[in-house]
Amino acid sequence: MNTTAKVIIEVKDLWKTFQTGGTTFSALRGINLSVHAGELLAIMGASGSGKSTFMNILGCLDRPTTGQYLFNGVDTTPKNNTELALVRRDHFGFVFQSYNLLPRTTAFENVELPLLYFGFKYGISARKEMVMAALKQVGLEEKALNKTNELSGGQQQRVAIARAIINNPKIIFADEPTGNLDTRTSFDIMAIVQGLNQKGATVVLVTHENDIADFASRKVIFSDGKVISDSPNVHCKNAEEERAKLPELLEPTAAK
Amino acid sequence: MNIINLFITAFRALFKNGLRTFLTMLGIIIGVAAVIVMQAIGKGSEEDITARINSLGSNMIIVAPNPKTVNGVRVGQGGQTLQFKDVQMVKRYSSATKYISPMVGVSKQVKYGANNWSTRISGVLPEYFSIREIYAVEGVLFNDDDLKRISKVCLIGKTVRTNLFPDGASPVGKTIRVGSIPFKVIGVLNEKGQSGIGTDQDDVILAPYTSVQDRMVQSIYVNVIFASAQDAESVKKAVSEIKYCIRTSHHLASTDQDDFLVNTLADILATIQSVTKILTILLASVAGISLLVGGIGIMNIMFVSVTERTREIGTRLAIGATSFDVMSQLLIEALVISLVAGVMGIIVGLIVTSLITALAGFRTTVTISSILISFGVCSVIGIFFGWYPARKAANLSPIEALRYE
Repeated sequence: MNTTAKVIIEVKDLWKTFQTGGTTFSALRGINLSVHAGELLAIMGASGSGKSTFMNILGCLDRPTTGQYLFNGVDTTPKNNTELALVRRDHFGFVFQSYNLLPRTTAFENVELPLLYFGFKYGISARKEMVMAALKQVGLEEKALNKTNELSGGQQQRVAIARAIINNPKIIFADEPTGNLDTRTSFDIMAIVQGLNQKGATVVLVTHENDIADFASRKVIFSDGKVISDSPNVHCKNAEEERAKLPELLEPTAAK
Repeated sequence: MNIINLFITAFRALFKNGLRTFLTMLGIIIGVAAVIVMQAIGKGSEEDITARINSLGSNMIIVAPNPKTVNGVRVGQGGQTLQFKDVQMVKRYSSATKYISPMVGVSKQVKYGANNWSTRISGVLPEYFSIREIYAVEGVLFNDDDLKRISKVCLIGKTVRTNLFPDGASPVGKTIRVGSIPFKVIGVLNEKGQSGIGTDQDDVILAPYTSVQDRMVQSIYVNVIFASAQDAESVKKAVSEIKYCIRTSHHLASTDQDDFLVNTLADILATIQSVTKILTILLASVAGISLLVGGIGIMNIMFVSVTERTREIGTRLAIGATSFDVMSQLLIEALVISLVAGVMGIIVGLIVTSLITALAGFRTTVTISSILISFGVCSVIGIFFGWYPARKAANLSPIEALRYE
């Protein structure tokens, strides 16, 4: 962990409480956490441990019940929905387990989508250039005009990553990005994520797989809405090298 | 999202569900077309009736007998109060009256050769031709000389001509028998068609007033008096002058009721126009209801669309769309559906209208206002029925939308 880097995320005594059928349930119970710029943070934990709820709050998709969340030194809790939307648009990129690409649209249109929410900022030619650059980063520039249903799972997730990085975000939030993929494709995706991290993006990765968390520079483990472990991953693995070690046998099923 | 991209996105989304979009539009298309067609038929028939009534003669005034009440008992319709002296009185004293003619008539069987026909022979003054805008398409009209000589000459309408002269030979110069009296046909009247109240204006024989009065009716009373005012502005003045003259002629005291009725074409026209207006409004309301149903169809589909695309909306929210962006996108989709459907409805309406005119022979008049109104209504429907589903989508929480299965 590079402790000299700037603190980009700071969470103070964060609580998230849900009311369901007359009972109150706390998904997060007083979380305190800081993330430095350039980290590849893996949030781990069993189902129901609060890791996804936590990531949603960090991604400004949800609000904490009490506590403070400072992004880039600015408190996000008093912001209204529109202001939060603009924070997401300008600074965040999201990668979801089920890709969440728009159906019946091309890879190009999906990657272009975030740029459309910038009003008149990007013209048609600028958008085209940016989309092709992003698709190139994930190795899919020749699939730009393919409809999303014509792509494999791994390719769809790579389109989702291209969409997440198109606005040059400060933080990429990835919620179980490899959850629907086989091992080899998972390692492909993690190689791309590590590559983005090395180029300076901060990555917050939610996963329950140790294999995947091994590629992170820091592991935070959640249990019952509390952080039970927070340590740098000294044995951080390289996804590209790990993929090379996989037996050839898996090759034919790689493209799921 | 800027406005251009909003429209592009809306068109893309609608094209993706082409068939469904078209079916949604169908309600609006039918509604708009119905409004235009119904309005065109209503307006067309109103103009048609107006033209037919005007064909009776412009600035025409009709005086009919209206027997006064005697000891609370009215003598009833068809009573006789009007005489030729009333006509002479008006002729002498009313400056606003241009022409005036009595009419006296009787129904008779008419014969020519082996053909016979039942019709009405009416005696009128030559002024009647000016009042009713009558001219002879064949032969000539009778004149004051014929009147003085009580000539047995007549003019026949087209219907009488076809029935008495079915072979198409010219009737001019031929002698026909009206009842038992021979009349020489000196002319054929111009075609007048049906009147606004459905009578055949061509089923007539016109003869000099004196001939009919003296030779056939033998009564001092006339059936009805026709007059025309100098111009449209003086119709009112002519009516009051005619009333005054006839009252004087009938020696009515100031407390007595009129024993006659004076009607103008304007009165009749106003009555019929109000009826056709009601008809037009009725037709348009029925069509309007179908437009409303079409609008509800849009709302229904927009709700389905919002539900179906909940995850998509969640994704859009996650990558930086604001509630306003999501709302505008869905509103514009609804607006595009209704406006495109509106334009298609206008085109269909125009085609159907011209088909009705071409095939059924109805007179139709498409007004610009009906096109503008239905287009305006479409935009309002789009915004009104798109608003609620769009709001529902915009208020979705990104997390719930993303988790939606």
